[in-house]
Amino acid sequence: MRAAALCFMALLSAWSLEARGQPSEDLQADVSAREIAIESNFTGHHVVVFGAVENYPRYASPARSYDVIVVIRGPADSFTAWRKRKTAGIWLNRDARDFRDVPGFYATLSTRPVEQIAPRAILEQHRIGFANVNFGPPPRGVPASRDAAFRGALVRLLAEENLYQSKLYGVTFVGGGLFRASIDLPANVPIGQFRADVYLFKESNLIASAESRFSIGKAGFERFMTRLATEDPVVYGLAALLVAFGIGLAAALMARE
Amino acid sequence: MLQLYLPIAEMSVNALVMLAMGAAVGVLAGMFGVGGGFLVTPLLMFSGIPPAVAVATGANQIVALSFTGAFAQWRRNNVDMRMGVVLLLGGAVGSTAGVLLVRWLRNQGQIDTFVSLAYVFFLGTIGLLMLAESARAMHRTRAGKPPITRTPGQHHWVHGLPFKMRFPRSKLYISAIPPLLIGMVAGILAAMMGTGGGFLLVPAMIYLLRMPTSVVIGTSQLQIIFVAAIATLLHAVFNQTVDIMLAVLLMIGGVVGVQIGVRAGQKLRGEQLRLLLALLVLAVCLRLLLQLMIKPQELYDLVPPAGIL
Repeated sequence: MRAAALCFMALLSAWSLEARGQPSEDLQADVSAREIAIESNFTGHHVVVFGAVENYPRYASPARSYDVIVVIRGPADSFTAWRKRKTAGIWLNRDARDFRDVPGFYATLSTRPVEQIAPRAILEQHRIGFANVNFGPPPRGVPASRDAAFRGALVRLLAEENLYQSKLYGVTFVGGGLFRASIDLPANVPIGQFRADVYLFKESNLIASAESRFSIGKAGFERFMTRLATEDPVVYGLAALLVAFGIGLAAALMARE
Repeated sequence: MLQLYLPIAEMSVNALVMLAMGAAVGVLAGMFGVGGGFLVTPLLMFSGIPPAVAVATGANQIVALSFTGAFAQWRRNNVDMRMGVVLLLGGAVGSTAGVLLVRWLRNQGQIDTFVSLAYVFFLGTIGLLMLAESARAMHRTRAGKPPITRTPGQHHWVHGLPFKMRFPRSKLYISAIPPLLIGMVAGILAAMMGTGGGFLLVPAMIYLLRMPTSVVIGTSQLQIIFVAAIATLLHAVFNQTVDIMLAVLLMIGGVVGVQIGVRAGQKLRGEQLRLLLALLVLAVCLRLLLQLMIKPQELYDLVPPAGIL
């Protein structure tokens, strides 16, 4: 009964849009790579997020009314942030704040600054923008102002390593409802699953969203080494020593001649 | 330019820069008989390698360098095996204690400051002592007086301790306690600072134990091989922070540097060598001290959470 009612309403709304000659827009999006392999020549990776607005009106001047925000999130990571204070003449780490399971990589790309695209409530709801990343609740006994300083420091330090990026005009419409956004993942990018969320806005209203995933992993020799180091650390450690003795001995013997 | 991705450090570095860095450390190791760890660890951190990886991989490089050095010295009969074994016993105890201490300090967030302070204290003390001594020796040579060698029968508080042992190669008959303690302190520092402890061992052997300078370098290198090997293995097993790719680059640069350093060292006189080492040690000390005293531009620091390392 309820399903029938919903179905009827959906039909009705579709009909009403059709009646106005304006089919509802939808969004298709994808990323240029599914699996990014890290090998010895890895210096980062260039990823393109692209997509199309379906039912894009041909006659309107759409560039002004449509906006796209792309949010790329990397695998969760944990950090402890320390703040130094001068103590007995030297600068010591005194105050700490733990950040558990925050995105190890976070980037927003948009057609305009995100604050101009959508109201704050929407940005908060979808965790768009550095200010809205889920950093977890402040630890007990830490006043909000100090916690804000720690969050700011975390974002600043990660942004310095290009692990947090914000590209205000990073999404461009290339015509006919097609858009693209490109981003450089740095060489120190965390390893694991990435997720790209694409949000389509029309006159500040979120009208569609799409999600794609990709992963970054070590391949070949790099994967072998990491596996050995984590799964057989004793063998790895002994191998490191063997290499050291080998190179040391070879050099000593060569120097003699 | 020859970028190479390091699987454990999880970052990309310029291979040529790392080779050059290894070579610079090697020159020092060859010239002074110190492992060069007190230089390689800060250099690696400065180029963006995570501190934990820098410490562990530095230790791995030092194994290769001190092996080359010790082998060459051993061929010239410049190694006191007996002294080496005593130092090593202390070193094994010390490096285990050091690894435990590192773990505790890291969880307190104080490891960086502690390491810097320890460096300032040890480098400052040793540097000043060596500077004074070598300046005096150079002054004496210039005045035409013969250099003071060991006067037989001269006594030092070190010689009054029990458990006396004979060290024929060093022409010493002294208590085993000072070498054990020296080995232990060097071991603690090795584990905590990513060094072989050579910068401490060499002066301690010269000035405290009064070993002949010719034997000191080879013997300290022998001790450093083992201390650095223990540290490498412990780091690989407990922290998984040894990057073999990076280590190989540093080692290849390093062994070339050692040969250059050894040749340069042979051209310089003992007191000149000691003066140079003193100045180098003081420069590193001063830099670290300033870093602690001057207000840092960035007051915040991100580290992996406690308990992971």
